[in-house]
Amino acid sequence: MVFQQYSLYPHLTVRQNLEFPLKSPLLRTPKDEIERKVRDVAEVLRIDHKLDNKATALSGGEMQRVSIGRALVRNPSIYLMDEPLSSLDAKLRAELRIELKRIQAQSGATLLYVTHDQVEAMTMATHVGVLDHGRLVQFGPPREVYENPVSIYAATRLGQPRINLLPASVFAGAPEGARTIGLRPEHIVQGEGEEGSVVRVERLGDQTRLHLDFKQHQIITVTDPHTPLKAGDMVQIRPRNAYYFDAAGARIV
Amino acid sequence: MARIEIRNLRKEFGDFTAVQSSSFVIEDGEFFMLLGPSGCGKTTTLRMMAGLELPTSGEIFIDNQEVSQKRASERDIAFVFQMFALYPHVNVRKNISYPLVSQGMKRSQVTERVAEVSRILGIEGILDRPVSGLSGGDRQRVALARAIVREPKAFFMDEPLGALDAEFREHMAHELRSLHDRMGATTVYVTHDQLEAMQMGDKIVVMNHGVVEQFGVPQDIYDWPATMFVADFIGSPSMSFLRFEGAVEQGGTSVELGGISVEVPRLLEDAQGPLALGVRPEHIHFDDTATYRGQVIATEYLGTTQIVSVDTPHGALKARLSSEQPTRVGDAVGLRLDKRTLTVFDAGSGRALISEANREVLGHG
Repeated sequence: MVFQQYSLYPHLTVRQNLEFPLKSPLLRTPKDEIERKVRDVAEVLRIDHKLDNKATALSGGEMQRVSIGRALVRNPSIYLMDEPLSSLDAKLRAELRIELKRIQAQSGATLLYVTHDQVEAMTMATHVGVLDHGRLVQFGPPREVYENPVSIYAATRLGQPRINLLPASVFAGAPEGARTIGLRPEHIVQGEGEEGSVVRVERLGDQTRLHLDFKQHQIITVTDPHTPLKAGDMVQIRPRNAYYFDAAGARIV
Repeated sequence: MARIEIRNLRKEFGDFTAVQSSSFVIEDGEFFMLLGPSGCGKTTTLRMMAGLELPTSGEIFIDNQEVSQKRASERDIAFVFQMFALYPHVNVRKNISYPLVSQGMKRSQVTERVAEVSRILGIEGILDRPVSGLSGGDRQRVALARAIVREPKAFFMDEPLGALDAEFREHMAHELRSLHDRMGATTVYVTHDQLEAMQMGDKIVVMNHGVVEQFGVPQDIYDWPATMFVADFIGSPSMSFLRFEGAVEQGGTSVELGGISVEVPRLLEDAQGPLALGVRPEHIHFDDTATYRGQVIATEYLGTTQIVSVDTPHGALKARLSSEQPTRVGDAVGLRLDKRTLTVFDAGSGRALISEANREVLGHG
């Protein structure tokens, strides 16, 4: 089990912390194997240069990597992880996402991972379970949850920027019983349909987000990074692949 | 309202140089970001502008008046800190009105101002509440209200959203930006979060080790980084580098990667030795006919797009592709790099070589 708040043995070095589970008398791991495993794991997690540091003489990110490492050395059949990456900086988080996924794929072990970070859920998981107030509301591969959400709640869990939710009557063609239309930012066609006005152009480098005012509703869509559009311009939009939800928030298919 | 100009600003703490020699201009009404990793000197720069730290040398102009040796109270600016410090023993209204009362403003005028500011921030409903029971967002709004109420020439903010969780930070970022759009006051904002800087800023200064690496509008910095540090710091995933030894000449339009020629924008200077070809994830395309090849080592699904990590003889690349495109770990792929968007770096100094494409942004000097 790896916790969000790492709990290391403060009086031991990094190496001793990592060795600890292997030194259990039940496992009887040979000494050279302990050494090899510790070194392998330390390398993967990029803490091999800190092996002889006291566990308390580390940065927060390093401590978290030691606590992940301590779980990895044992090769258990199930790993339980509770937000293990959330205290790390963005760059390291991105690297460790790939590493953890690689370790899981190689070992074939089951990994049950708790996160509020949708990027982690989408990129790492074979399956995602979406929880709402203690109830499992959807379960499936990330692509299925993203492309085929069962409810408004499930639809808003994944996707950045978040799915646009508007009264179904804003656009023509809503099916019977539809209360809400859900439009992912990339599911808005520009240059045809009805007019909205650009409130703000947000340039993120690889993409540009348009904040639109459409019939008094806020809509966010993505567009070409080098778009000439600016605040105050008018743009025509039309939905594509819209999701419809009923009054209770359940998907209408 | 203020135009702020920094000239050759330097700060030493004993042997340590926190800020080397910064120069940049903040135009009146701009939302201006000081961006960099921790320890890069961004907060020290802001504190010198605010008058909380005296520069070792250099000049600071606020509306053409040199203020570098003036006290903070003589500069007419408002500072919002990462840890919003409110007066815990008085209510929201008294927290906001304090700066006005201490200036000796008339009571009726104070009431009017507080009402106006709390309307702008949407906190009219909590004016009589004690600050101790407020949520993080409301505390932040009260701290902002207290800064705004004085109508200072400029706002200085040091990671004001740093302590908030991701979802709420995004929300407050929008709120701050639209507040700025309504008020139009010059704002200088320190952050280590590149996405926050790109999202909110009109202009960005990227700092590293006390040095200004680049200064400009977000899209230019993203498209045409001046250094490998900037290229790597901005973007998620950041720019990938193909590292190679070689030589390029002024007028050259390609680089040689292990005997394979890759087209680049026409170069306007010579370089030799360790070089790096920089490419952004969305400018890499899989193309079976391409001669430069690599092997897929990881894929990450992100909804509409996926990030595919590719190992090449010159280092790992990250490509952003449509999720529709089938990719499997282990696939051998041809890589086509969009030649109009590439930057060649001198990998020794980390500096971008000037080309026809980045000349306008990077210029000379």
